[in-house]
Amino acid sequence: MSLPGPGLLALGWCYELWPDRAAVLVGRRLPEPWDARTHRVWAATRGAPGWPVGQPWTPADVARTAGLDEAEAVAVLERLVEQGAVVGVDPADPRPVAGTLTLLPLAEGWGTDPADPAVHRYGLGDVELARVPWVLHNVLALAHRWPDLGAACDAVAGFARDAGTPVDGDGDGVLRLAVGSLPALSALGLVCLQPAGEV
Amino acid sequence: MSLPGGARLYPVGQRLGELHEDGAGSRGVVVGTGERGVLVEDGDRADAWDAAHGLGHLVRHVAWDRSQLGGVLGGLPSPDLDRVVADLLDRGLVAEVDPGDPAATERFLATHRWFSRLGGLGQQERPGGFVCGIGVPGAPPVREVSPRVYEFWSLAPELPTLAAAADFLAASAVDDDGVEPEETDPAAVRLALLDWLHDLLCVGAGWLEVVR
Repeated sequence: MSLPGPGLLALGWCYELWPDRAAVLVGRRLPEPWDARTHRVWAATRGAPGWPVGQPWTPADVARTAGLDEAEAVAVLERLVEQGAVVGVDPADPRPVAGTLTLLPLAEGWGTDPADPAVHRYGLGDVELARVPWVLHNVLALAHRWPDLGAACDAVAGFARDAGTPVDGDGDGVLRLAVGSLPALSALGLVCLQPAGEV
Repeated sequence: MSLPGGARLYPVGQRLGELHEDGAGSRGVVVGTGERGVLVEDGDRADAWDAAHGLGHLVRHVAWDRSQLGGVLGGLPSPDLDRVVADLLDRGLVAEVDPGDPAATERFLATHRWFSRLGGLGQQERPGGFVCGIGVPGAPPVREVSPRVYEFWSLAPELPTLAAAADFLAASAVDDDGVEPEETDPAAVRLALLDWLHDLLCVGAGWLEVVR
């Protein structure tokens, strides 16, 4: 099989981690634990901190991050695609895949920055992980309350219109920002994706 | 067996952090419930909502009830505490559940669900038996919990209500080695779940929401 693309997104949430294997919950399925190499590739598919918004996270990026040659990484990715743990995405046109996804927050909201109230902070434990603008904060915090990520971004665009600060491109613009930010945000453990309708 | 104490108080909603405005201090804590964030104003209300999450060193020993909340809030006079709790109850920002009231317990379990934060760090052997770590990979666990609490934390986000989570856990425990009868009895698991929640809430390992 060939991989979807041009970018990749990892689905699932790691709920068991051992030195030699890991269990990742994808939707309501309880797959057999993965070996360490499969988990490494899946984790690498989440992206990298600081990755530019809108730039696809490609199989070559996954291979580099996982420390594997590309053919080896692609072989693992193909199995992950078959399991529904990886999907393809075009960050410039994410609407088709967004209808199949739900976004869940994994980090705690730390509120607005006292020095810049337009910025919202997220952290885990004592570590600040990210600072995001208000629109993206609404997606991260609230997206799981709508049936899918596309519907959530349309609703968040409505919030922005109501607040008198409409987003360029309206719902599609919010969706491109959200999906384009995922490689940076997922890699930090800030959010995870799940199949729509399964959480 | 239930922890000693009165009706449990649970925070409802997802903590989104303090709201600051230009040139001013915090106005309060924003809590995600329904489709928008709700501001819980600074002062007794925000303190009470925070305190309803429980204190990590206490929540395995006592039920997290109004008296525990009052203790954390520095001896807030009872009428004031009751007024603050009543306000949070009215706004759907806390839930109060008496395990001795089966109908109220069932209503709570059927109308609330769980979302998890952080990640799973797997089992660790301790002198008293196995525990399971919750936290950030590569860092020490934020919380170590019993395997049953961990199972709830890991699976409940996929289930539509707390009641469904309890029933699923009871059914899946049937095949476990060395299982105790109360681990496979749905009614017993539902009661135990009432005490598991603060074990997780106290460190922000997840949050409760009303089922929509």
